[in-house]
Order: sequence, then structure tokens, then C-alpha cells
Amino acid sequence: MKIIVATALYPPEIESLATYSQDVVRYLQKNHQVSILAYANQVEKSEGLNILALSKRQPLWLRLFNYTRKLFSLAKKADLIYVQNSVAVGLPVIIVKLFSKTPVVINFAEDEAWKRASSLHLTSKSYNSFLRSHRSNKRTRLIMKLQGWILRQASAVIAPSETLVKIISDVYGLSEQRVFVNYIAEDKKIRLPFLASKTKQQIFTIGTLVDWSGIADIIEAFATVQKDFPESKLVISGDGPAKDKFQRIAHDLGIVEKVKFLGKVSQAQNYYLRQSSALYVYNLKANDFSHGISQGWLAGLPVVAAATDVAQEIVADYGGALLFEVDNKDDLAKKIGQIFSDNELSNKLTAQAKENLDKRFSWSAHIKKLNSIFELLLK
Amino acid sequence: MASDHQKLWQEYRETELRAVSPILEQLGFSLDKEQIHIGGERYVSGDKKLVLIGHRLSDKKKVIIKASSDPKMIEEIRAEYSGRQVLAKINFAYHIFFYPQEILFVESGAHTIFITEFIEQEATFTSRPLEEQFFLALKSFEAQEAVQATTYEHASIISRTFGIWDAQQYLNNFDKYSEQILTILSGQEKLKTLLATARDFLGKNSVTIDLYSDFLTHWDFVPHNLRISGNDIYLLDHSSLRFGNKYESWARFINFMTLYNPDLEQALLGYVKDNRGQQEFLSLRLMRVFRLTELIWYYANTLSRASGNLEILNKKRIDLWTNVLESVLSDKKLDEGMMANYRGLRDSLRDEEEKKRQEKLH
Repeated sequence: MKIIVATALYPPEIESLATYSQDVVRYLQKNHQVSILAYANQVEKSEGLNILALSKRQPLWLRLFNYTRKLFSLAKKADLIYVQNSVAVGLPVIIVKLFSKTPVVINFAEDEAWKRASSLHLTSKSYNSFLRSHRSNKRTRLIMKLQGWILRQASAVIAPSETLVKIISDVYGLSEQRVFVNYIAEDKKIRLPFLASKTKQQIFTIGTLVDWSGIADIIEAFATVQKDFPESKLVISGDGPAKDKFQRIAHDLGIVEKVKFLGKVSQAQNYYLRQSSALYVYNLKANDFSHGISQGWLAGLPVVAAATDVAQEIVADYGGALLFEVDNKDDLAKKIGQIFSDNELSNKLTAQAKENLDKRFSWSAHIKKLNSIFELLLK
Repeated sequence: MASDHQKLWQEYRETELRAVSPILEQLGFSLDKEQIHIGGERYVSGDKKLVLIGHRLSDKKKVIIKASSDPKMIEEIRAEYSGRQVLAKINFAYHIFFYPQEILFVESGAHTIFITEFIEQEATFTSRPLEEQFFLALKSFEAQEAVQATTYEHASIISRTFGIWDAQQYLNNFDKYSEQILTILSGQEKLKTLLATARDFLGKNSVTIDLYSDFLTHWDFVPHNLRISGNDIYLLDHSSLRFGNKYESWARFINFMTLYNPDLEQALLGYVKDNRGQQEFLSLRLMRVFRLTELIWYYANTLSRASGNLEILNKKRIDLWTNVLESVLSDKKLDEGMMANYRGLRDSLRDEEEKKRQEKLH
């Protein structure tokens, strides 16, 4: 198959969309002839790979025009275009599709409208709330409109969970038969220069410190855990506007000495903390693009997670996390206590997690699914 | 005469202090009796700028005062001030780390004065455990790497304020440093050969330098330009920011740690090698070579201003960094014994004022 991977970002840029584009091509290249078209001033070249980069140092209209023109020329000889979602790429791709009839698959790994609005502090809402609310910013509204139109014109759309498939199908008006699930490949193990030794009864969680992060509930549940496990401690990685509020909660509960707020730390330190903690708590109630549970699995520690739609979906077949009832702090405290007092349960969860990573969140599973989607479209 | 420079600096310092003190008092600030940043080896830099510690009279808040009447240094203070304003305004600045709160920027008569809050820290960077230093460093580097001058909109704002360096710019500066080093230290054949090898290394890999350019980088990223408060890292010097190769700040920091904490140096080198691939590791080595050459150039230039033990010490520093340059070019670890010998010699040659200045610096 001749495939074009169309992306807005490519390494040396460090965003996940850039590194995914590079990684997915490495795997697709084994069985397909792959070309990459990226907006980039510089690109990391790989042997045997055809990468075309279009300068970002041009006005937007010229960038779009050049991208469309280049893509059109590439599409003449291609069987399929695999697009990493963004309007700057999606727009040229759909224009080219209208003329060339080349099938287009969009990887909806992130919602540009929400990502952009969050980054520019235009919204502090969770993804679900953002989609349901009125968006006052004109540019955000425009991106959503364009994004919806692009998605509806695509031959197929891929989302990283069944839950997100339902959400984006509903919000962007997609007919479900064209929207597929493909779980992300979770392989970014970090090699550290020193060993991470386990800290007994250390609970770790990570997130942006906003009201909807679920961290307030974790702190309150931890206060209950403290009664039975006085040696336990809670380590919170992340920063955000609700930090003071969360610190006050810890203070008011009399556990301030036991709760450590680290602020924003490096990726390596987050990995180290996952490895050195006794368990990881994931209490994000929003169903979005975050993959905290599978990242916890990668570091090999037991996971306790809120039983959201996404969490239930990803543990359904192979397990790997102890789920607690959403918004039930007592249940969360109980589940943490179970793991602290039952080594067998802890080991079982990590073994299940390993299997889940292999079967569902590995590159082999991801590429297999991608190939099946591509083949279905080209039948 | 070398000793004249020390005398001239002392005279300049006293004159400036006499001129600045009443202005500060009028603005509501007092100066502390002990001023560690204007003593010791400070005179050899030749920069006519005072970095002072003081207090705001209204609430006794401890502050850092940068003041100068020298046109070059006034430009530097202005650049630092405007750099902070731009970082706060441009869209991507939300990634950046903390910086001390600005208290006052004023141009009074011949003097430009910039006052920021003093950030207290529980412990200096190098006195912290290795793991903590490692993770703090990574956090700082990731914060810088998250800011890229890649788009058309960003590039124009950034190039005006901070400047953007590409491979050619690094090579041009290398050539300038190299030429001046060989003029000052004529007859040093080993250094001449090494600089030729370094030029060849940078020139042949200029594509790699460009590949990892366009990132925010701090070319003087060393512990004395940072302060740690709680888990937050405060950047003290904003005049050393530019957009360039992302490993420039890593290089400066790692070269510093070669002397001050070789375990951290090795941990950071290993991290890049193991997690970021050969090409990025090469980029780091390239930047280390560039920065080491600049360091040798810096010390070569101080020889005409340094006197007595400091002149001897700075000659030893040139030897030391030449050896480090050789080790980086050959991608081999420097002999620890050589570094230990240097440290011993350095401590014996430093005067008391400098020893005191160094105490809480890093």
C-alpha cells in the first residue's frame, strides 16, 4: 500500500502528535511504502524514509496553499492518506480528497479546539463540559466548525477509545460506522540513571490541578486511608489554578504533612514516581484523551481508578485496575486499603496490566488495527 | 597592568555605589552592608554593572538590584526587562518557569535600575541530593524545550527580542573565539590542534545544530542563575535567553557540572544517550564543544585584567577546560584525578573575599 502520513508536527518538535507521526511511520514502513508531509522547518530524517517538510515561516494562507499543492502531487500516486488531526492539515487533505478521491483516515488523537482553548487559557473546562458549553472565543468556534466539516468528509475517523468514538460522533455529527477505535501504543519507558526503589504505602497521582481533576476527592479519601495506614503518604504531580484550594483541603483535614504537592515535574520524574510508588490513583472523571491508566501500567504499579466509561472500557477484557465508584470517596479509600493489605491482589493487577498493555496498548496491536482499517477502506 | 583593573573596578564600584545609594533611598530601598556579588573575582569580567542586595523600606522585603550607568550594561538590563515582558505576553509563555516578581524598573539620570524580589531558598542547588538535582535540571530543560520559535507569527516577535541563532551563527562565533584565543595564547600547539578539530566537528555537523535549533535556550544556565523555592525554579537572569539549539543550555549546565558535580554530569549525559537517541546526543556534544570554546575564550580574555593568584588560576582554568574540550571531542570521560587536582589548586589560589562569594553561589 502507498500511504501518505499527513501531519502538522514532526520531530524535533516534541508534542505527542509529532512523536506519534515518527513512530507510526517506523512501523507502517515495514509493510507499506510511506511518505510524510509535515509542516516543519527542520525534520529528523530516517534512512529510507521520504519526508517532505514545508516551512512554517510563511503566512498561514501560503502555508495552506503550499501544503495542498504538495499533497495533491503526492496523492496522485498514493492509495491512502493517514491524517494526524489538525485543521491546518485536515483542510488541505479534504480539498485534495475531493479532487483525487484518495481515501482519507483521520487519527483524532486530540481535539484541536479544546487543546488550543486550554493552552491559551480560554477554557478551564474538562473536555466533556467544553463540548457541551457555549464557546465564546470566535477562533475556537471556527476551529470546531472546520474540524467537524473535515471529520464528516473523511473516509474514516479513528479515536483512542469507544467512549470517545461515541462522544465525537455525537458532537461532530459522524455516522458511527465510519468511526473506529484504536487504542494508543504505550511504549515510552524511560531509562533513568538510578534505580527507583519502592516507597512503601506511597500513593501517586498526576494531573492538572483544576476543580474537575478529581484530586480533591483523592485527598479526602487519603485522609480516611491515613487512619488505617498512618505510614502512608500521597504525592501529587502537576500544577494548576486549584492548587491553593487543594492545599487548604489537606490542611483542614490535618494531613498536610502527608500530602506532597510537587508542582509540574519532568517526564522522567513522573516516570520515576510511578515506579517508586506503591500504587497509582486515577480519578479523572472526564472522558478525554488522557491515558493515565495505561501510563501507570507501563511503570508496573497497581492502579486504582474511578469507574468512568473509559476506565470500564479499557479494563473490561484483561483487567489491570481496581475500579471504585465515581464520586465515592469511601470506596476509593477502601480500594486503596485493599491494595495496601493484599500483596496478591497487587501482583494480580500488575500482571493483568502487563497483559492488557501487550494485547491492546502495544505497537503491534495498534498497527494491526490500523492495517485492518486501511484494508477495509481499500476493498 | 593587570592589578590596575582590580583597582579600577574597586574605584568604579565605590563611585557607582555612592551615586546609586541616594537614588535607591529616594525610591524607597536600602542597600545591605554585605554585598557578595561585587567582590572577589567579579572584577575580571569587566562588566560595569552592579548586582546588589537590598531591602524595600516600606515592608523590609529583600530585593535584588541591578544598576548601571554604562551604555552596554544599560542595554543588557533593558534587554532583560523587555525579555520578561515579552515572555509574559506571547502565547506560548505559559510553559515557562517562574521568575522573581518585578518590583521596579527605572531610568534615573545616567542610571538604569531594575529591582526584583529576592527568592529565598532552603538549600543551594549543588547542596541538594543527586536525584533532586537531576530532576530539577530536567524540569528546567523541558520547560525551555517546550517553547519553540517555529511559526511565522512567533518568529518575528522572538527574533526582535531574544535573537535567533542557527548553525551559521554558532560557527561564526566559534571562529571569532578561536581566532582571539590563538592570538592571546599564541604558541599553544595542543590548543591550536584541538580548536581545528572542534571547528571541523561543528562544521561537519552543522545540519544537526540546525535540526535542534529554534528552541528557547538559556546560554548561561548554571545554578547561580537559578533559585529553588519549594518545588519551583526561578530564573534569575533573563538577559541570557535566546532561541537557538536546545542543547545549548544543557551544554552550559553539564560543562559546569563536570567541575562541580561529575555524578550529575554523567547522569544527564546518560539520560540523553539512553532516551533521546544518537542524533540528539551528538547535538549535545556539539553544543558542549561550542560552549567550552567560549569558556576558554572568556578566560583567555581575562588574563590581561587578572593579577596575582587569579592570573595563575585563570591560566590553570584554560588548561582544565582545554582538557575537557579534548575529552568531549573524543567522547571520553575526563580523568577524575585531573579535576581533583584542579579543585585543590583553585581552593589554594582563591582569596578570602572570593571564597565567601562562592559560599552560597551555587
